[in-house]
Amino acid sequence: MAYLDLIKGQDEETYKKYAQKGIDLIYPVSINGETHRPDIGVRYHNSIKVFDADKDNKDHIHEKASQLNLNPPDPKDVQIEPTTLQGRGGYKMHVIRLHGPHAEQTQQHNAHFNGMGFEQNYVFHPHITVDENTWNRIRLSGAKTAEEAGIKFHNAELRHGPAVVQTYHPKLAASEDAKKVHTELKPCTSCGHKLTTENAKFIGTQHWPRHPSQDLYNCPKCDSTITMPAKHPEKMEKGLKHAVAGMAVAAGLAGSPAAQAPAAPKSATQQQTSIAPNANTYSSKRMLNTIQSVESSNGKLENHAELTRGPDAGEHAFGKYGLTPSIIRETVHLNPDLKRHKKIQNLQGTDLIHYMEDNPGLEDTIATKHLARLEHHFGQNPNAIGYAWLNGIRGTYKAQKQKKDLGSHWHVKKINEAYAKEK
Amino acid sequence: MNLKPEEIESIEDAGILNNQPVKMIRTKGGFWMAVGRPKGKLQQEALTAGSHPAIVKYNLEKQYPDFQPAMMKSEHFADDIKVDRHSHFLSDDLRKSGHDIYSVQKGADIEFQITKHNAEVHSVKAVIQDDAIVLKGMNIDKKFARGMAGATTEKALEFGSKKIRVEAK
Repeated sequence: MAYLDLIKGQDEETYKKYAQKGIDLIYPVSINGETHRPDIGVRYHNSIKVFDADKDNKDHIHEKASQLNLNPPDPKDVQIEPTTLQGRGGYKMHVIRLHGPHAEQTQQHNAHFNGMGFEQNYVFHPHITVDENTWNRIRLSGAKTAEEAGIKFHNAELRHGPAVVQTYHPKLAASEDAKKVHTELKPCTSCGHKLTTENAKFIGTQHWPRHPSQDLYNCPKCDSTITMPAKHPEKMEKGLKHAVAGMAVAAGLAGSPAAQAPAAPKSATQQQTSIAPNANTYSSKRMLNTIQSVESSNGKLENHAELTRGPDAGEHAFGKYGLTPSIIRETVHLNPDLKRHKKIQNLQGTDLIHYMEDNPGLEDTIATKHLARLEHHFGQNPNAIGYAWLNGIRGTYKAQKQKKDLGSHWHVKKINEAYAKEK
Repeated sequence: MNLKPEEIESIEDAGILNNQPVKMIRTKGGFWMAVGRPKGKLQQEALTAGSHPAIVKYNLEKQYPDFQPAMMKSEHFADDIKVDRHSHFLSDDLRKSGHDIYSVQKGADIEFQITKHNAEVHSVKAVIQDDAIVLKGMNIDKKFARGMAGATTEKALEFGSKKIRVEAK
């Protein structure tokens, strides 16, 4: 049973069977003191990597795991998002998706085992699979962090089925030892409170194109946001992600239509960042209007240039959303409610364009469905969606894997500009 | 368009649109017309027209999604008749000049109709035989050849027919 089938969910019994015999590197988790799922009795856990028991050697896994700092996440710093993963069979898995620096570290740990385990043709994102009742309780509680949801992470374990093969106790790296020495920061500019790295809450690092990066702290007394020169300006991208954890990039990795970025701490300076403007007010309608505005000036310029590369080379995009022939065919193919248009699969060039013209409304339907598909893959993230509208789903995953800065792509910039103007 | 009573051959109930009856009128010249009162209009008007009642019904349903068809006496209007539009295979010029290609299928019989402003220009009869679509002659203007080829191919793909044959008359 491939893990992909499991993660996409076939049924809970299959999940249980796998959990009983697979090899997993996990952080065991307890939720409000409960360690096991009440429905199927499987240990709550946050997987770091799932291995193939037929292929991967436990000693080798342990050797590689020993190289990592497998310190359990601090629940206070882990932002959560109850969401669902839907499988091909339509079955829903209820998961608590994890965001923030710890989640990113878990992703890095996962990547450390590249080449092992099952083939991963999806973006790994840390999560805890839970039963529906627990999921509903957490969702309705409005908890934003793991701590608020009563989630605790325990020492990492390498498990083979229910047997614990190895436990990894926390170890402090030299840099972390250094962190224990609390450095004094400048006093709060609003209330004068004396700030140290211990009492001030670190929000993240703010990057500016032409100015030195700054670290953002939150004053515990007056709640003001204080800026200090950045300690690690070279870690701009990561720091920025921390500052707006879950806002756009994490939501992009979320891969769920329901992926709403957890609220990030706001400050006047953060609003000047170039990523995902007004991400909190995302709506599909707004995104569609944005695409329409960028692709055809709201339907005024629908004579698209000939496509020169890819599967549509030699053809033209169609209509106000600039839908390419392959996207049109693929969307019709993927949506059973568009079955009556299945003849479109055999149409090309002007025949396809004529067919679209003869079926007013089909264009809007296809654009809406295609956008929903992109939202499913990349979350409600204008950057990733803007990139994917031009480069496709695979192209976007590839760019994300290569850690390309999507926000600096010309099409994404246009989308962001137009998105900010849309209401 | 004004129709005189002596030009009408028959009138039949076609269905209901916005709680108003829709009538199917057949002229003595063989033209079919659906007449009803669209939403927001005070008078009845021709909703759509065509050379074949099934094509009229097809266009009526496309243009007025709220139209509820009634059981009709006319065998041409029966529910087992399937109409398809293949006008996307026509050139821009032919489309702009009001041409269309339809296929009207009942059982194994298919009739391809090429129309201009809903009036029949050419008709090609065909039949599905085993794994082939057999066209019973093809006496059409050559400017429609590509459109006709596309329409026939589309129909063949629909039924999984492997061959398209043209029989000389």
